[in-house]
Amino acid sequence: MCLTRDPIARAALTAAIAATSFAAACDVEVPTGATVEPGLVVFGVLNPGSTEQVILLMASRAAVPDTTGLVFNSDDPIVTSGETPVIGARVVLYAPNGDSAVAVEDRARRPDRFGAGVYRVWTAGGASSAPAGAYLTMTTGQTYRLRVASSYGEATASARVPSADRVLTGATRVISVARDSVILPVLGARASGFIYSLRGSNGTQNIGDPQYRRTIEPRLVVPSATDDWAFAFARERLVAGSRYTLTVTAADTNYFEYYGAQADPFADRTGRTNLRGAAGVFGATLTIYTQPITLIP
Amino acid sequence: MPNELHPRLFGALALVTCVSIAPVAIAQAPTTGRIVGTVTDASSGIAVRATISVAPGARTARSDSAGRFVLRDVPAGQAVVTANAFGFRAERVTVRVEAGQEATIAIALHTVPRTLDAVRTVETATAEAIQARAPAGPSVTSMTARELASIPAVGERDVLRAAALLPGISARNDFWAGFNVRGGESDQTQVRLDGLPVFSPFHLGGLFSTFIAEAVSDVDARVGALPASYGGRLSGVLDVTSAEDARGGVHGAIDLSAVSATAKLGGALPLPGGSWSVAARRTYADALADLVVGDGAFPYHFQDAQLHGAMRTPGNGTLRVTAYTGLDLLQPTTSEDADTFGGNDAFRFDWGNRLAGLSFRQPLGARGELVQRVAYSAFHTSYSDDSTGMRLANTIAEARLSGELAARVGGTPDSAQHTLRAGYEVSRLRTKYDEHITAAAAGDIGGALIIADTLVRQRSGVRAVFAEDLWVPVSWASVRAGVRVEDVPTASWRGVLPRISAKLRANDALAFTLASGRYAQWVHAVRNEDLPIRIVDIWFASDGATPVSTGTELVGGTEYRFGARSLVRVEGYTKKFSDLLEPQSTVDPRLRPSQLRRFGGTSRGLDVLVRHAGEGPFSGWISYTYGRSIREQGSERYYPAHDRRHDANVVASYRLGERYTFGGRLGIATGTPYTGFGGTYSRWFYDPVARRWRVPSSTSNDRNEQVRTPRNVERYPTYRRLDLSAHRTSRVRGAEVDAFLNLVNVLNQRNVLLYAFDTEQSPPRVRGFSQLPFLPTIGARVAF
Repeated sequence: MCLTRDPIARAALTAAIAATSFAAACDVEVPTGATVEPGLVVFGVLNPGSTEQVILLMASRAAVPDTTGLVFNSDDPIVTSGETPVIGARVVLYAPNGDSAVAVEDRARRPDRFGAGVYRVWTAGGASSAPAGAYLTMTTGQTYRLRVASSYGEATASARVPSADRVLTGATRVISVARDSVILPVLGARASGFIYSLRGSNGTQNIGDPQYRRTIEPRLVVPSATDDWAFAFARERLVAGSRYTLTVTAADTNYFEYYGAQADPFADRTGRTNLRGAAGVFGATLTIYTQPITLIP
Repeated sequence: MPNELHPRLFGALALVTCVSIAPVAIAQAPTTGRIVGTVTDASSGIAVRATISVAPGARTARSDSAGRFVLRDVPAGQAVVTANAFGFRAERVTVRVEAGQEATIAIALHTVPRTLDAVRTVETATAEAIQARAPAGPSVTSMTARELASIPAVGERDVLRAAALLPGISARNDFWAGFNVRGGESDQTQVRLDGLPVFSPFHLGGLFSTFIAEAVSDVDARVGALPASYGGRLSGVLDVTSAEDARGGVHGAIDLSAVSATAKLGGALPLPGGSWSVAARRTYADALADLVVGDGAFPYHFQDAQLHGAMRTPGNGTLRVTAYTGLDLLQPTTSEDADTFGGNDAFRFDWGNRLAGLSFRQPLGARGELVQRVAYSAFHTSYSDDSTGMRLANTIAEARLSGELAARVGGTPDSAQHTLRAGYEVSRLRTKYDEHITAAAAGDIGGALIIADTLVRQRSGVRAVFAEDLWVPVSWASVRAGVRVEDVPTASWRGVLPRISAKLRANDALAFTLASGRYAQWVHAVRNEDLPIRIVDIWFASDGATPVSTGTELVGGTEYRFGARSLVRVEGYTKKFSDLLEPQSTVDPRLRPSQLRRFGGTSRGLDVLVRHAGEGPFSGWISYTYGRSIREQGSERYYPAHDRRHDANVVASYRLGERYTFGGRLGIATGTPYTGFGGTYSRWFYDPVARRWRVPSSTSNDRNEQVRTPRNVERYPTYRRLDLSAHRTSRVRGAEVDAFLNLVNVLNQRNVLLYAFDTEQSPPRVRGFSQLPFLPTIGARVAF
């Protein structure tokens, strides 16, 4: 069992336990009757590029869920992934100008009752396109607050939506990694961090783990053997003759700290965000650049 | 993480234990004889009472009123008999001793004129008795070497572990390398050796202190109401004083415990009032394991060396020098050995202190005194893994020059109405933090990201001046008022730190005290105290990114003395802290001064001490500490991990005749806080390009993200520990032999060290790891 990932603490703890064992050469395990109570888990990420903002509410658990026999259904993602949805919660999103929207749970509006724990606020298409009270105008550069009241407790958080002077989708380029460069245009992005992800030809599947950087890296592809370009992490996976999409996404501090810590073996996650009263994350992203490329040798 | 010892290692350790508990076998000469004789005055023939010694061997005898003496069990062969008597020149006679036979000699001594050295009588009052008569100032609790010797300890007597039994001082657990004094974080207490700061005074995760008990004279704990001459820490000072042995010749002691071997030598210097001592200690389990199991079987040891000297200077001044170096080294060298320590790779993990200093104290007539000190102290921590290239290292070094001038004004020199004191302190601090985590190292522990290197070098320091007046207007009242001004240029901080204390004596037995002060701290150990294991500290100095921490304190109390050597002391306190520092994360070893989290808080409590420091057979104390600490960070309020409501200790020793001393310690304390476990959850991923949520795969670690309860809302169970010790003292060939037995945690109470949440099991399991179990050890000390 891994008590800690801190190598110094690990070595120190090992030494201490070794010292204890040295002293008495006995099992140091102490049974305890501590129990685990379920709590609230919130997943919400604002994205101005999306017409609907989806917030997932589920309960933390005392055991790894048994997913045997379950078939994942994207219309009912929480239940069909073996998690316990939080139903009937009041989820309110507040804009900085005082406007607010109460999220509607999919389960309450779908005739098939799917979508337990999946809450939506509409942010595009006008109020008429959304259920009553569930529409909110979303503006980049603004900070939005979230408040959740549920049978598992209350949670609050806020997220500042990243902004950029320009959001671009470049025309498809044919490039040779050995010869051509792809440089990010000046976009005037304002965010806490940036995520570089390489997509497959369908534009959705990640190739390699997305890379998290605190400062923007304009050299997307550089004909060089060095690693000082943003997508160098996926160099070995780039196959001549294939199509890819380079994407750069701006993220607020919550999203960046929570997901950027994914590849950080030391980080604790929710503790790095301003989400209080729940585990999970409430953040914001804005994809600022998309560049389809076709590779040639 | 291994829960069981490697079988071969266990064998080695068992052998260590067996060797340590094996009775000391003293070789006897196969054949001996004896020497009988007389000692007379050569000029008059009158019998002389003299001390007779023989070499080889260490037999001594005393001639009787007729001048007769007998030396028994003298090894056969040539022997040199020496007779010493006051007023006579020592005389040596060579004699041959036959096995089983008796040799007869007559020694005639010649008179010599002798000039007696000046004799200074020293009152043997306890520190508390002295303090009771002293004017206003910090309350001091002291322990002498004799008291330290009888307190049960793990393996061998331990200076700092014993100090944690005093009121107002607590250690989080048996392995905690630090003290928490009156609700303060552990870096708020400065531990000093002869006035030299020791940044991290512990070995092996706090199980043993860095001080060689054999070289220590006494320990003074000041847990509050510090006068203006004290600076740099918010909560307390623990002063460890080196032992000085001014006896002629070379004297020493050898200790062999289940933990380590210690040797000390010392004696008088051929200088006025001069003395010297050197002491060294090293654990030997690694060496023994090398012999029994093979090289590197137990790749850990610690070692210390300490030097102390003193001499009188012209004008009755005193010059003292102290130096210390210590090292802990954990260095598995092969993959097999590394497995024993929970990893697959060899690594080196070492830490230690180095310090040296000089102090000069010069009386200026009957009413003044000058003190000047120069000190250097450094502490380093280093972890390196050659196989992955990972490196974490921290160093702090401080050079300090300080001095003070005191003058007694009004009244008589011994009972002046005003004692004026002024001084200065200039400190230069250097810290270095070097962190290099490679992709291989990160991958080794579950990550895939190359984390940028960090190299932090700080050049900081402080300039401080202080002044105070100890005013004794009447015999029953005194006021100590002072102010300290500190300037930390690199942090652009300057502070005025007033200190005031007052003492009223109702009668010879009863006194009341009240004190208040403001304190500042400009060095910070930034390990997060929520972690239950504190092996070493990472130190930063205050600079533009690292603020100066401050605290204010109000202390009030009363002290009642009964009899010559007994007292009851009750003190209450309230403290407020600002700009304390901790890392952002409890689990992230990477530190950035600019990313440290600031917090503040309050601590309140009550200390009670009932003590009898008798010269008779019994001595001991009962200490009780009540504390309540709250920390605040933004809107978050929580109990710090060291917040212990009740902590009581009963410490006693009893001397039975001249040979036996028994000691005991009973400790009961309520549990400290910890952050509990709220279950697990899946870490869903939001794809900002596809604009959809994705559930982690069933095999991903993201399915087992932990939920923690609010910070430190849970508490560990009550801590209980009963320790016993027994000493048997005897004389063997002129040497004093102390054979001792320590029984730690006699009731084998499973005090909880930490809880861990095993999410890989279904349902997840909360497991606990205990502190020290029942632990019997024996050892011996030989002093000559």
